[in-house]
Amino acid sequence: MNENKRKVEITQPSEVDQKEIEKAQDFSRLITKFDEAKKPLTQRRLFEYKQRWFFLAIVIIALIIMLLLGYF
Amino acid sequence: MSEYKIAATELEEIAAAIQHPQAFEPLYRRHFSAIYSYIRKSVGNQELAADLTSDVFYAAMVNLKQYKINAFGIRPWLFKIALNQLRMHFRKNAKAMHIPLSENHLMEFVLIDQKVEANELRQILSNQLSQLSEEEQEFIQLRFVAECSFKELGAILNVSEDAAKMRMSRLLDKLKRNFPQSLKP
Repeated sequence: MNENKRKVEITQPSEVDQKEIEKAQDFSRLITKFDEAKKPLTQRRLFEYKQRWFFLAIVIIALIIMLLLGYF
Repeated sequence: MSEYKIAATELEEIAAAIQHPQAFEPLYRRHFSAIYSYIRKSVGNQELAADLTSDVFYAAMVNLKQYKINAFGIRPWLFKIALNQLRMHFRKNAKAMHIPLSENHLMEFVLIDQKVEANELRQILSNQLSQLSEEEQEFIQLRFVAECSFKELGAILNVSEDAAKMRMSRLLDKLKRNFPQSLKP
């Protein structure tokens, strides 16, 4: 059951300006994002990525050991 | 007949876009306005709306293979992605979701003869809608902000058109029932 109560604000209606839409509608932005995502991870990001998995592995191993020792 | 024609064109565009991301542009241009307006009205901020809309279309572009062809075209699928993006945004930022409602739309939420000022009504409804579940809020938002038809709502929520109509009717009844006693006829 969803207990989340998100705040809602009923506002005055306003039409979105055509100029505003045209300004936001830049397809090259999407292609740049796509190309960026295809690039290999930088050294820094690769380090952070490995670090995250390393800590996760330690936590999982610790949980398995605790389980095997009948801690739970 | 014309609906079928549109679907056939869209199908070709989807097939092309799966092969080459650049070919996604016609789909992007056709649906940008609807998705952007929906997000813009929900968050009330131009730059944020542009970023979130870009995220929606990026997610659509990279996951296009997962799109299941149906009679409604790609629009409901894009709204589904937009809905998820907005959900994530509001969970992360804990800001109020905007639902712009005209006076005509406001009257659909109440069952009263007496005149209540639109601003007062907006305040009451803001409080009432804040008590609804996320799904119920989104349902109202898709209907009144994105102006989705019941057919589209059904496609977005994976229910039939009749079930979508029924759900909306129950939701409006629930809101009317919970309307402050002092304002009931």
